[in-house]
Amino acid sequence: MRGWARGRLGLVAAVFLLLIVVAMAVAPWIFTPLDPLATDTSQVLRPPGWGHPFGTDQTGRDVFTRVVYGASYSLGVGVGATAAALVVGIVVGTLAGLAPRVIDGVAMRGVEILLAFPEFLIALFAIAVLGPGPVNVATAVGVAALPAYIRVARAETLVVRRAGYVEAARGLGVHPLRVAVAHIVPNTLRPLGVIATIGIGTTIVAAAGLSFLGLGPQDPTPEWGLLLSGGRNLLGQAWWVAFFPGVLITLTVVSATVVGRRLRRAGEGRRS
Amino acid sequence: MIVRRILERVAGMVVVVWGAATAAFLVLKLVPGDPVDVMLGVSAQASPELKQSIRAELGLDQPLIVQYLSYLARLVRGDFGTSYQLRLPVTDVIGQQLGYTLQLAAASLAIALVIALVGAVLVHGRASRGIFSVLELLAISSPPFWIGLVLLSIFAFGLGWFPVAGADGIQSLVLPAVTIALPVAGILGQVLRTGLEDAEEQPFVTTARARGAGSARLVLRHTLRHAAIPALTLAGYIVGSLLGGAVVVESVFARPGLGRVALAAITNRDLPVVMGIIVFTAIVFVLVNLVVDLAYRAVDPRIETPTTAIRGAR
Amino acid sequence: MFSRPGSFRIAGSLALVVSAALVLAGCSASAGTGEKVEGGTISFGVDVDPVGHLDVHSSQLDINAILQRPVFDSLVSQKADGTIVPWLAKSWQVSDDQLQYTFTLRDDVTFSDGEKFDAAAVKANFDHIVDPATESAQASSLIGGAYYAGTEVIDPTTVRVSFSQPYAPFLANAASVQLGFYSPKVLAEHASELKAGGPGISVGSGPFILSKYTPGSELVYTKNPNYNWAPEGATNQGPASIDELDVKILPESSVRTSALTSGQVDVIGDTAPSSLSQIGDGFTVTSTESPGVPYSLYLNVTRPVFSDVAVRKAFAGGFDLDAAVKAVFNDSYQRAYSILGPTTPDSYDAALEKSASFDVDAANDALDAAGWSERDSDGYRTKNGERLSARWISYTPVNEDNANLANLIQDGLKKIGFEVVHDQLEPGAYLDAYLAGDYDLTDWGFLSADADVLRSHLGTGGYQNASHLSDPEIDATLASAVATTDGSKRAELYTKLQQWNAKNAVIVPLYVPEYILASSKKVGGIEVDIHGWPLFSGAYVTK
Repeated sequence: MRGWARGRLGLVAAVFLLLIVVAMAVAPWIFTPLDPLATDTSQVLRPPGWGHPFGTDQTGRDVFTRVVYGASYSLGVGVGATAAALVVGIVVGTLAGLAPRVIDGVAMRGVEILLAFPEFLIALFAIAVLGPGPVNVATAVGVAALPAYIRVARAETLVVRRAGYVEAARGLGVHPLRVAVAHIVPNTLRPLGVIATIGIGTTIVAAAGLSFLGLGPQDPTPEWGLLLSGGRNLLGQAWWVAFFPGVLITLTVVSATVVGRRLRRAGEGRRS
Repeated sequence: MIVRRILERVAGMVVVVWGAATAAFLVLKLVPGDPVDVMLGVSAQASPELKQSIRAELGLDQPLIVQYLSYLARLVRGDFGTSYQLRLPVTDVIGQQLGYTLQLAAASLAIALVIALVGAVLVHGRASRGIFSVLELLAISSPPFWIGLVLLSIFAFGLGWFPVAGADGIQSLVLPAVTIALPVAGILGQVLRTGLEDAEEQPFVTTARARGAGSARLVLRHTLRHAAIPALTLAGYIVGSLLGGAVVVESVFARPGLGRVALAAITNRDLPVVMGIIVFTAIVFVLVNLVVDLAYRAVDPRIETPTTAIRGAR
Repeated sequence: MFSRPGSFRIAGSLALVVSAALVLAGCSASAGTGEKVEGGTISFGVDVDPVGHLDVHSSQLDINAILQRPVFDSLVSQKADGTIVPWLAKSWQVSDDQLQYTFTLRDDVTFSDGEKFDAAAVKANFDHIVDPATESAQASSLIGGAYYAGTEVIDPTTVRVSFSQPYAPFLANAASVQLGFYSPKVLAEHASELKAGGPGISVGSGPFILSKYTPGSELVYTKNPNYNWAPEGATNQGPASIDELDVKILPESSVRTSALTSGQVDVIGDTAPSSLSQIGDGFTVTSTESPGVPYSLYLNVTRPVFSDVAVRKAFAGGFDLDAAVKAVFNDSYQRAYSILGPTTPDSYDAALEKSASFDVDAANDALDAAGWSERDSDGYRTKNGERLSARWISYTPVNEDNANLANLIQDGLKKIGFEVVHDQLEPGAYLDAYLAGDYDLTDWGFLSADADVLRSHLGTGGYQNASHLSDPEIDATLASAVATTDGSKRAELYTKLQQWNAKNAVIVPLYVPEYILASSKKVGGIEVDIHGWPLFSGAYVTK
């Protein structure tokens, strides 16, 4: 692979950015002394400048502070939903891999159909069923991410299942479930970890999209998608309210993708 | 043999649509809350008798299995029920708005194809590969609603080249279509480029070169054809992107269309419309897959196919 | 902020019309600079589509009242000075006991489907409004609710409406579009389709005919060439000048503004105050303060936190409303002092403008005295270990300005240790919470051209009584006010109610909404009614 984005420089930049976003999520107070909810009627819609690097919004809240605090919501949903999907995906995928062929076949047809759609559309349908709300948004994007994990977990299970040591363990009379937990699950983690890294990015965009549509958390929560949608009526007079949250979402997703791809290549290299 | 394959194919399609319809029905039945209350609202002060009569009218007082069977029977006849909110048949609701979304989807797909093809052909084998891969990455990673807002503030609010909203003619179609097209073009471009790189290494390219085919002609005639295969596989995904993108973009650009209908139905818990859209999407998906299968055989002559009749008719 | 074509607003976040007295000879909202041309099209950008709620007799949406006025005529019309003038009724008589209104109708009026307008048509429409199957709350309350006794046909041009007790707002309400007339043929044949509406269904006798309807996108009206029965004194007594009125649905306020400035549409309604700076000199802007109940918070007095009047008053005085309204609306809207808007006829008590004040110390002292003197780790007040906290429910979508105002209020009250949890609920969840009374406060503004709107907000069991107030003295005052026709006597009674609320802080008025209409100078002759809503019967385009 060529090109700087895939080269060292891109990777370093991506890792650095991710670390910053993680730091924002974990310890936002390092970046800003302000309260993301604190309003100030004397500082309404100030353009970016000293004191307010990203400007202020309609109630005088500091946009930079809100973006920083938004990291914990967006990254929280991204990581949380991905982790949950990962766990459920491993369980379901492993079971499907071990299950009789008929059940496995039916489950996989369903998974394949779902895989043919972008996560955002599936998440939207999930919200249609669950109803709007912040928790439901996390659930919906988790559900949308699920099929990919199930498929990979199942494929790895099938491979590992036939491996000598697993056969041997079974031959020794070890319970199949125990074999699964002890041998199959650890082996599926590496490829799944790669998908999950890229998946965090996709999940963040999907969640932000749902929030943007008004289906997720609500003002005054500093969630990135919501911050963006809060600025959409101000485009003509205060572009900064919508612009900066969008930049942060994009950079985070790009970084996660770059790192994920790098991990994937590393994984592929190891295998071949 | 052919008949059997076609039958299998049709049966598979029916099963997918039936599965989607059943899943939509079951899950939506599990949703808490009385749809009649949501329909009427607080200040209507409807008497319990009136509510009961509405419930009976909608068949909501029947046992679940009866509701399910009559739902399926109505689906088969093309009756998707009546919207709680719009008080119109769901088929009318979808039908009225379908045109706008089709226009948008077609325009987006065309733009995405052009961008991806131009990108793939231009970049092919040149040093600009790196720049293009960054652009692709950005296009794929940027949230569509943000792309829409940025385009809107530059080209509509700032420069005034395009109208800010609505669906009046070609001009109003440009920004929304580009918004949806960019991420799709990013994905398509990546796949095409990878496909081209693989195709380069195929023996038929060497043969063609030996026969004196020029580079551009080679790309167009031979390798692109080969590279189109994985791109075609993505068709389902792309259709999904177009539909999902429509929800966001129609909201950002105040365009009428299915996406707006879907969003309104979701926020208003207008269950018949939600079910109708899910089933409709399943039908579209199944049809697209059928078309893709046929296109596969048309694009790549090496694919052995029993449906030579179709190819012959081409 | 989102397009919600199917949105059903109940007693929701936007102002609703309860008593629409339309002023046909209102101020002109547009003055074309060029020469008037016959024919042509005017396009009008609005924020929402009344989709699914097009029936004038059951819809509660302001936007529906605006968009149906061109199609539906009423018995009478109300002028800016409050006087009622003849429209489809040439004259009327009120019995001495004020229980019977007898109208003499014009005999030259036809509906656009060719049906004749007569006494039977009036009866069919009024019967339709009160029919439980119509599911009408608004129109049935406008016609008198429980006071309405019935309508009888005396002869083809004479009709009598009776009441069980005097009902002063009736004539003004009869001018509203909610008490407008459908062709009787439509009522007979399409009753179940009225909510969906559309050409051939939304059929009245007005100056325009709804000729095309694309939900979520546009409504097209063509002129009624036979129209010759405008209200007495209207500038244009004949058919409309323009051939077509094109209504475009543009949900985002920024989009409407740009559509106007770029010439995509000629007129926009519900213009955001924040976007006024972008509308330059080339446009005519009319801003009309809405009569009725201002945008307010309704404190639920049956809940522990707000059962104490001292806590309610501390709440009302504990945040800087002046600064908040100024920050959000930038001087476009005025803060409210009373539970009635200044333009509500025969009622407003201007004296309250001196009384209300923001006083942190007083609020803190009052809360200390009420026993909320301890503080928890988050800085909120507690009493017996329980936090001073109120649950505010709002009906989504919450418009952006109101959301910003809510943030400022929440943040202000936090500073005196009063927690406000703002739950913005989707329709179903809001209804559940509202009906169960599971909230401490909620919010809305309620447009109305008659102060009788307070009866539904403060009267025991009133359908907008979100405060759950039940006070026999208040009920008695409301009842005598609705039965009083004398303007100054009514004003006295309503002043009493406004002052009572100022002392008891049951409703906390926040700001007086205004309907802002902006139009291009390429069009003229658009007049606005008492709500500031546009009337297109005299509109024209210029060269």
